[in-house]
Amino acid sequence: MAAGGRQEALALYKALLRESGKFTSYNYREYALRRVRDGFRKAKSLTTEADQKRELEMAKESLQVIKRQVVIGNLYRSPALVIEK
Amino acid sequence: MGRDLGPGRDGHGRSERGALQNPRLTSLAAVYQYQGVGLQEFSNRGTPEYLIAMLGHFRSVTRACGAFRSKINVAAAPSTSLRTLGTSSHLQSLNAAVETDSPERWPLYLDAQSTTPLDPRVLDAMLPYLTHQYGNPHSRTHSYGWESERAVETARQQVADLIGADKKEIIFTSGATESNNISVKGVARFYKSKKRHVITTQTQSQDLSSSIHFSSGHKIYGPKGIGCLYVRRRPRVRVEALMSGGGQERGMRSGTVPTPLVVGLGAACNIALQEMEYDHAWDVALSSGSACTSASLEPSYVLRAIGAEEDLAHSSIRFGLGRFTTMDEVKYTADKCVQHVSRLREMSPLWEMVQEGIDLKSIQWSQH
Repeated sequence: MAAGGRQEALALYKALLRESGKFTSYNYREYALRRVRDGFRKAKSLTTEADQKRELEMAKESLQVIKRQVVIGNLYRSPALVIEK
Repeated sequence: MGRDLGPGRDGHGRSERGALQNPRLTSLAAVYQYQGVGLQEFSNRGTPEYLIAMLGHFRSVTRACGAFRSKINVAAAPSTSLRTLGTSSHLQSLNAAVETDSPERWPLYLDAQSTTPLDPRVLDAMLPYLTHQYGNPHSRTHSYGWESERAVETARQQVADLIGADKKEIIFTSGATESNNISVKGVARFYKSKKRHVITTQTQSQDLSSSIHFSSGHKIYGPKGIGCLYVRRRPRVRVEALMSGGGQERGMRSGTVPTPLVVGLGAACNIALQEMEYDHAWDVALSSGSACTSASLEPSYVLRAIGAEEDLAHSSIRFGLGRFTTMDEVKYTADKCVQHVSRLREMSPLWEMVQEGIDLKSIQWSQH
């Protein structure tokens, strides 16, 4: 992967984790964090330029979706689950 | 470790009978399996479900089930008999003396087989059509209508892609119930002059009924109130519409197509297609508790043991796991099950009898 691409991917990864952590819903939050980690781990092994570009684009879209849904989660909150501190 | 567990069982409590007889108990079995060492006690007749079943007459049994279920603070499915007796909140007051978790906290959701939460990506796809893009997809004269129709057709393609069909074979309905009705009654009515019998089978075979529906939107992290029906075109399956009206959906289902719901269903199908492998791997991980148990456990051993007794089926609790279920939730639920079963056993004379080696099936219950 080109050096610039790697840096961009890393920045995107951190941004995704940071935004995912803001979900007020326990189940959405845990899923998003897990899914982002597993998604990036799997994408590390991609070799072709086109594949990497596609995954990066999907990650960027996901970031926007997560940001919007975090806002909605804040507007319509549910009480904490028994399992949460 | 080996207790004498009666005839037909080896030293590890394994039943002679073969494979799992009640697949609905798979999830519950998986929860118990997680407990590892605790399995031995669950493999004999004194299993928690059996114990609850033997606690007394019908009402006490179901009351105990409800109390048990409400105490573990998990939303799970009761056995059918319990459903008719009302909600667990009534039962909660009967057991006020029992220690519970803080009541302001919401229970964990382990009822994925009844419905699933919306995936955030699905809600995101639906919102524009619930806000500014509110056109009727059947309006042919302005952009609101054209945009709405475009969204419906995109969703139709997404649904078709999931099941490997052509989009012309997809009809949108209000859910699985309506799809069922159309496929059975619609076909029967069309052929009523020639054929007078309808045969349905449990499996989705492609002979007589020939039109297959799949799960409603709300089982695949999509919205409630929408489903679809696959009606094969080659060779053609003819269906008579149940609802009369403007002839929408190729005349098979009249009524304005609800764009936001359809878009949600399409998004859910699209996500399902992409996430199928990942979701499946996660389900397996949750069920086997692979992060937490040793490799020596055999799932089939527990499933056989729990599935062996018919009476268990009438006093069981089914837990469903899904995309958004976490390992911690499964652990919490399993711990609570063990805790409360132990508590129930403490007060059970029948459990004492089981421990003394008395065969509960040999008891002559006197008539009152």
